[in-house]
This record gives sequence, structure tokens and C-alpha cells, in this order.
Amino acid sequence: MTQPIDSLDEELKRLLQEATETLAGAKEAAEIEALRVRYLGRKGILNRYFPLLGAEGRPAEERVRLGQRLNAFKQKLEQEIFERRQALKGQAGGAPHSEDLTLPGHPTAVGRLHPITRTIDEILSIFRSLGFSPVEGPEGETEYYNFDALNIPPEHPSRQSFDNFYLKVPPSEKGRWLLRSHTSPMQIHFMEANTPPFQILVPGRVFRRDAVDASHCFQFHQVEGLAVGLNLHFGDLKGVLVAWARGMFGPEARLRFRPHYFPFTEPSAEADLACIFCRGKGCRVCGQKGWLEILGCGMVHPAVFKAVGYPPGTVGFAFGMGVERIAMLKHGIEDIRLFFENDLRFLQQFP
Amino acid sequence: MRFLLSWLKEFIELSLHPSAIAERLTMGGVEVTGLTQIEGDWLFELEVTPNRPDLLSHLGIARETAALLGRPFRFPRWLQRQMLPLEGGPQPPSLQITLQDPEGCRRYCGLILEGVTVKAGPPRLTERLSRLGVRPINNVVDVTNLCMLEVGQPLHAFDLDKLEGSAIQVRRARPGETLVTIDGVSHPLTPEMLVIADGRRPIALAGVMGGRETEITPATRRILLESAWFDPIRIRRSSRLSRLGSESSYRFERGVDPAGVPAAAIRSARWIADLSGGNISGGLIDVGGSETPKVRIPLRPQRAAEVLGMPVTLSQQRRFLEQLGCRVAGTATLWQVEPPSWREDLRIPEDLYEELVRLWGYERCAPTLPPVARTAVVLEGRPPEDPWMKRQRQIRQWLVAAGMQEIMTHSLLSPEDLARGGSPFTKGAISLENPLSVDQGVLRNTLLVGALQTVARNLNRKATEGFELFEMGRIFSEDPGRRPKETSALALLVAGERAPAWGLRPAPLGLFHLKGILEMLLQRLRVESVMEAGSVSGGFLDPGIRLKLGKEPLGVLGWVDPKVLAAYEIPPEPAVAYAQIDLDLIRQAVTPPVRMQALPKVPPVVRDLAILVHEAATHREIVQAIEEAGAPLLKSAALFDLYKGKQVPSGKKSMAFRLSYSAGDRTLTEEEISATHQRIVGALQAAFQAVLR
Repeated sequence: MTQPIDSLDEELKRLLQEATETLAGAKEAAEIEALRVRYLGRKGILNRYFPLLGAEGRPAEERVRLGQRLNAFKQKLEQEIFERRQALKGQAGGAPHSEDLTLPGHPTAVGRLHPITRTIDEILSIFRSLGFSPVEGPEGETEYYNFDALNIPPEHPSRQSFDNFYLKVPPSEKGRWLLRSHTSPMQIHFMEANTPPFQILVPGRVFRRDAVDASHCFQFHQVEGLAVGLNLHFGDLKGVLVAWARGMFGPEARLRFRPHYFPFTEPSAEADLACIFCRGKGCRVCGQKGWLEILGCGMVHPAVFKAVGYPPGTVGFAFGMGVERIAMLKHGIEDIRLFFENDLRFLQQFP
Repeated sequence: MRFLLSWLKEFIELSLHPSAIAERLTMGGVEVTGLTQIEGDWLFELEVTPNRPDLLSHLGIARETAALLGRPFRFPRWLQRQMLPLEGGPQPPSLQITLQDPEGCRRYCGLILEGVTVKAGPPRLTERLSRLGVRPINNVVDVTNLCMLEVGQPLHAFDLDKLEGSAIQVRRARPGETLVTIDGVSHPLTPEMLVIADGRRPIALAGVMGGRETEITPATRRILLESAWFDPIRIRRSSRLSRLGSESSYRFERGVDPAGVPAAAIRSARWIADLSGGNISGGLIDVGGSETPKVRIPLRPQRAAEVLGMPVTLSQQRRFLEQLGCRVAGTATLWQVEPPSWREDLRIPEDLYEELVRLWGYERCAPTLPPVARTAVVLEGRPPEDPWMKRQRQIRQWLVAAGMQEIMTHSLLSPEDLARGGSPFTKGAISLENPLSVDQGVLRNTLLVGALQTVARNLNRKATEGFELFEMGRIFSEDPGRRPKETSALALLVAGERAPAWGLRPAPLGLFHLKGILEMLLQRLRVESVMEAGSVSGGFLDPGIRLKLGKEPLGVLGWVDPKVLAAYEIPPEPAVAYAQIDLDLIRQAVTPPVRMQALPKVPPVVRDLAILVHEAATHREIVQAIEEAGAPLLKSAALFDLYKGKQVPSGKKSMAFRLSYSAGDRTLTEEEISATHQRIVGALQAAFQAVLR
């Protein structure tokens, strides 16, 4: 004999009311939990009704109705329990979801890149958009690649300005081993293995025998550029560097080019950036000059092309810049030593 | 190089303001680094590049200024008169001069003065010298210096009466010879050095400095005046080997005007005679002065305009070259340009291109952009970016996302700092031949030292309580018989705890935190590496894990031995976990593009399994057993709890795994799952005497 559906309805209504009243009187979380277990627990009251759903002789529409009633009972009671709990919490110290919203967010553990890496990335990404592709070279070099192939013969006065660190290892057929004093040796390595046209960038660490002070360190970083191809001319060199400067320092950035001397370029130039602090008026940073020396560049010297076996008449341009100097200018850093001291209070200032 | 405006004006007319002159010089490639007004005069300081020795005199600056201002330069008459050949024509030499090293000394001119009175020079001239930073000595030496500053030719005066014999030799020094130079220092000489010698001994280190024994003194009556052309390389070597430099060697090692040698001798002799009351005796002795072959540079003016990207006409180009003292001949399309004798830096067409664009103005050259798509790199079938450069950027980004801070430490360390970590560091480390200081005497062969120094420094400064650091950089080691080994390495270091924050449990930064990062990294790099627990050779990590890629050692991971920490002045707490891997090995690993796997159509069934096992049983063994027994339905077994202590019998540990079952496209039946689960339990019971909890 199955219980009539109407009486079941009544029974569930009564049960719900009874539960709601008990709930209203509950003063402790434990009381609420006990109530939840009694009605909604695995062996709770509500679960006793579910087998009725499958009872023989009950018409299908009644089963559906009963199922809906049971689910409604469950949802309603869960809602009541949730509200009662929130209400109790509220009495204890605030309304539901009424935490102190001025509390700080939980810290997110994300690290940071070193400012030198960030600066290199920024330089590279601008040149990448101008069609240059980055490659890397070794930090340990031979005299041939560091000097001779770059048109800096032994005893040449310009070799004087590169005071190098030599390694205590047996020399190779390409001369003594040293720590590269510039990224330019990679020009030679790349050209030995590739044919023009191409436009490459070489970021990397270089070494000079400089005593350490606020503006010098025996190690620093450079980004080198080399473009070789048909019909390149001096105006292209200027255009590429001007475009880079605007990307790096903003659309207002101005460069000026002065003749200079580098053994591996002819003509050679030094580029100055109109001081980004005083806009060219003259200040402490630019030494009242209004201009900041920022990079060296020029058309590749034919002797360099000859050294790598390129045919006469090959044309290209090259440039090189100091990453620390650019980072120092851009972020107002006054001491190069900070980059390699790794004081976390310094490093964590950069996003 | 310094020059005085008043002196420059003896060569050219100038009405421009000094700052305008400075601007023009700077923008023309002769950088003015200082400009100061002194008592009605202006002192310019220049940075002269090593290719332009012709600018190391007032005459040279005057020529350059004229050219940069677009004017022809006229050699002043008054100076020309001082350089006219001596009256009376050639006379038999009273002194025999021989050039025994014609390569080292191409030309040597000597002049003898008699009856001189050596005294202080006139104030007008000594003041000029002082302003230019040269110490006045006496009227004779002052003239040699003035003449050098005037026309760029270094000169030397010997006290002729102190010379032995009547012959002068320009030769290489002989082994065992020494020379006391005028600064009083005794120099041992070597055959690499060029000297001036009398009949008995060296009397000067040629082109660098004279000897004390033959220097001009107040007692000097007879003088031998020397004006010569010495080989730049030879002078540079002499100067370097003797560690002696002078205004004279500075000019010789850059190259003086070979055509100016005799004129400078005559000019200075007349000047000395004038100031000292002496007279020139005999004629100019001029040895080795053969004509240097004429240089002719082929120049295609059309090509020059193309390479410079400037619309400069042929007549403008010709005018620029002539302003510089070049002679231009040849046809309309192919010129033959003969540079002046003082411009030995002009030898190839490209040298002339620079002169042209310099006089045209670098600023007037319009910036353009080359076609971007010329990257050959694409034509040759290579990606536009070196894949390894990209990979390294990704590695950095993944590590940053995992909370790691990038650091950059010194590539050069003090041998002592390296040795503090013990033998694994000193072994095979490469030293520098010529360190600047002992603090930078050796190349790093590990990134650990820099990382530990970073920890020590930051602990000292109380900058943080937790460390999550990484560095990517090159390390070096000896590879006997082969080139020095340079490796790209990655170091990871964690220690301490993250700063406490409300609502979060403190996260200890230890070995397993680090191992998690390393596992993440290797998984993303998709390299099949193996980790082997055990001690790491040399013992700087204890305990440690060795990583392998195939058969190659990929790196290490472990706790840094407290003894090593102490050596770098780090307290034993917080403990430091460190890992270092060889990125070059990873670079070689081939990683094909990711192939996506079909998503399961049915969600997996998840069951937890908690067991008690002997505490010596390792996680790896247990997971292996679970995976074997669970195949093929078991998809993963993840440890989510590990517990020893209360409620667990001693000698045992409790491990809880979350097991995930799936058969891909179909729904698993309860029977299938139970059977697999039971198999797993059975296997664990058999192999580890595991007890279900």
C-alpha cells in the first residue's frame, strides 16, 4: 500500500516547518550542524523518502511530483541553514560577506627579471620590428676574432683602448684567449657562416680591464647590430637608429651623429641622444652639454668584409651600444655597481 | 690635445665665437671636451681619435678648422719663411748618421748649433707652454716642445759635447744595454726597442725619451737637434716594454708627417739660434729621406654619393677633397685622389667617403629605413629568430611566473672566494693572466658562489627573509688540450620563507619547492630527464640529486652543505636549496611542436587511497607499483598527503594518493574501477606490506 501523495506533501511541509523553527532557535554552529545531519545527512530524514520514489504502484506523474518536492525541500533547507549560519556569524562580528574590505589582498608570488635583461629585451624588441634577428656569441674569444679580423692589428693604437683580460690557457691557432671586449667578434663568426643579406643583433656580456667605480665595471653588456645587403647606405644606418631611439625613449627622442673613429667602420659615427632630462638645455646628467653619448656606429670597413671572404663592394652598417648606460639613463640609476650587487631592494623596484 | 685660440689665429683668420668653433669641430669629428677662457685667450681641449695624428698640432687644427668651415687653407708666409732651406746650400756633414734599422726609422734629420746660451725661455713662450700643460725647462727644450705643438713634429736636442765619437747610429738596443732617461729612471733595454746611440752607448730611447747623460744643461754650448720619422709600431713597442710614454711617443706611435721632418728641423734650429744666441753650424744632415711613393686612391664619386645616401654634386665632392689638401685627377667617373702627406689614414675609397660626409655634415644626411624583409635568415629557411634566444626568454618568463627573481652576478671572482666552496669549484677553473685585482682573478666555473654571495649580502642588509633567485649565465672551465669550455648554465636557489601575510599559511622555500620549479621547467622544456637521488660529488650538496639527460649529466639539485654556507658567511638557518643545470644540453634537445591530445569525452572517476607503509619505502617505488597494477585504466596517481607521527605506528608513514581512472570515451562501470583499485591495493600489500587506512 503506497502512501497517498497528498499526505506525503503535507508531511514534507510539516517537516520543513519544524526544521525551520528549530533552526531559528539555534544559537551555535554545532546545533545547526546537528540539524543538518538529522535532516540532510546520509542517514538523515530526507534520505528515507527517496526510496518511495521507486515504490511500485505509484503513477509516473506522482513520482515526478514527489521528486520535485524532495529536491525543493533539500534546497530550501540548505538555503535556510546557510542564512542562519551567516546570521550567527553576523551577530559574532558582521553581516554575511562583510569582511574588512580594506584588508590587503594576498600577495601574489611572481618574480621579476633583472633590469639588464629587461633593457636588453626592450632594445631587441624594437630592432626586431625593424627586421633584425638576435643571435648570441661566446664570451671567451681569441685575439683574431676580438681584434685582427675587425681591422685592429697588433700594436695599433686603438688596440690600446681595449685593455683586455687574457686567460691563462694555451693559445689557439687564432691567437691568445681573452674575454671579449665587445660583442663585435660575433659579427665575424656570423659572417663566416652566412651570406648576405641579413640584419642581426648580438646582445651579450663584455669585459674591459676597468677599475670598478660608480660608472665603470669590469663587466657590462652590449647590444651589437649588423646589417649587410645590397644598396644599404649611411642614411639607412641613421634611419634605423633614429627609429630605435624613438621606440626606446619616446617619440620626442632626438639623435645627432658626429664623425668618430672605429677601426672596423668607415665612415664611423658616434650618436648622441638629446638629453632626456633637460631636453637638450644642459643639466647635471649630460654635463651641461645637452647631449648624451649613447652609441657608436658606422659603415662596415672593407677590411672586415675581406677578413670573412665577402666580395669587394659589399656594403653594410654596424652599431653597438652599452646596455647599462641605457638602463641607467632610463631609470635614473647613478651607480653601475647596483646591477651586479643584486640587492633585492634594488631589483624589486623593476616590474 | 689642447690648443690656444690665440695661437690658432696665427694660422687662420677666425671671427667666430669660440663656442661656435667648438661646435663645428665637434660635429666634424674633432670632439671638443673642454673650453675655458684664460686671460683673454681660450683654451680648447680635444679628444683626437687615434687615426688623426695630424690633429696633434696647431697647424693641423688650423687646416682642419678651415676645411670644416668650408675655406681653403693657406700655409702662412711667416712660417714658410722659417722653413726655407738653410742659406749656403748643402754642406758636408760634420757628423756621421747611420740608420741601421731602416724600417724602424725611415728618415732622420740632424742639425748642429754652436755657441748657444742655455737659459730660461722668454715669458711669452713659457706662458704659452704652461697654458698647454707643458712644463717650461729652458730655451732649447722649450723650442723643441713649441715646435712640436706648432707643426706636430717631436724633436729632441742632445748636448753634442757629451756625445762620444762623431757618429750617430739609429739601431735596435743590444741585450744588456741600459739607459737612464731624463726622468732619472734606469731602463734595461731589449732588441725590441729602437735607440739612438753614439759611438759607445744608447743616448736616447728613440721617439720616447732622451738620456740623462746627454740632456741639455745650462752648461751646454753645442747642440745636436734631431727630427725624425720613427715607425709607429716600433715606438709603441718601445713605449710599452719600457712602460714609458711621452708627448713625443704619443705622436710617433700614431704617425707623424714624413714630409714635415726636415722643415721642422730647420724651423726649430732657427728658433733656437734666435733665442739662444747660437748659430747653425754646417748644413742639414738628412738620412734615409727617400721620397715616399705617391698614394693614389681611386674614387667613383657617383658611388660615394650612393653609399652615403647624400645628394652631393661632383663639384662639391671635389671641393671638399681639395679643402683637405687632396689632389684630384682622373676621369669624370673615376677619380684618382692623392691625399696630403700628413693624412696617412686616407688609403681606400671608404676613407674618402667619411671625409666627404664629414664635410657635407652627418646631420644633413637624411635618415631612411632599409627594406625590412631582407633578413636572409628567412631566405635560408631559418626562423627569423634564433630558436634558442626565444627559448631562453621563455625559461626566464616561466621562472618569473613561478616567483623567482632574476639576478646577475660577476663572471670574475677572487680565487679565494671560489676556493671557500671547496674542491669542486677550484677544479679546472681558469685564471686570468692579467687580473686588475685579486678580487677578479678567476673565471667562475659555477653560479653557486655568486648566488650564495647574493644571499649573504641580502641577509646582512636585512633586505628579505625569503630567497627565490635564478641566474642564467656563462661558466668556464679548462678542457686540457682543447679550447676553454664555456657553458650556459641556469642556477636556482631558494631559502627561508616568503614574508608572512594574513590568511595564508607560511610557505617554506626549501628543496621540494625548488624541485617543483625544476620539474615544471623540465616538463615545459619537454626534455626527458632523470633525477637520481644520492650524494653529489665533492659534497657541496648534501643530500643531493643528480639530473641526467640521456647519458649526459644535466645538473644537480639539493640542500647546500651547511659547511659551505658557513664558508660564505651564511648562518645554517635558513637552509639553502640550490640547483644548477647545463642549458647547452637542453639547447641540443629536439622539441617537436606540441601535438594536441583529444579531450576525454567522459570525466574521470576519482578515488582516494590512504596506506600505511614502512618509512623506508620511497615514493618512486610505490608510485611505480601503483601504476603497474593500475594499468590501463589508471591515468594518474598524485600524492596529496604524507604523514608521520601521532596515530601512525613508529617506523611507518601514512601516504594518501588521489587516483584518477578513465577509459577515454566510455563510462567506467563500478565493477571495473573496483577491480583495478583492488589490484592496486593487492600489489601494495604484497610489495610493501601496506595497510589500508
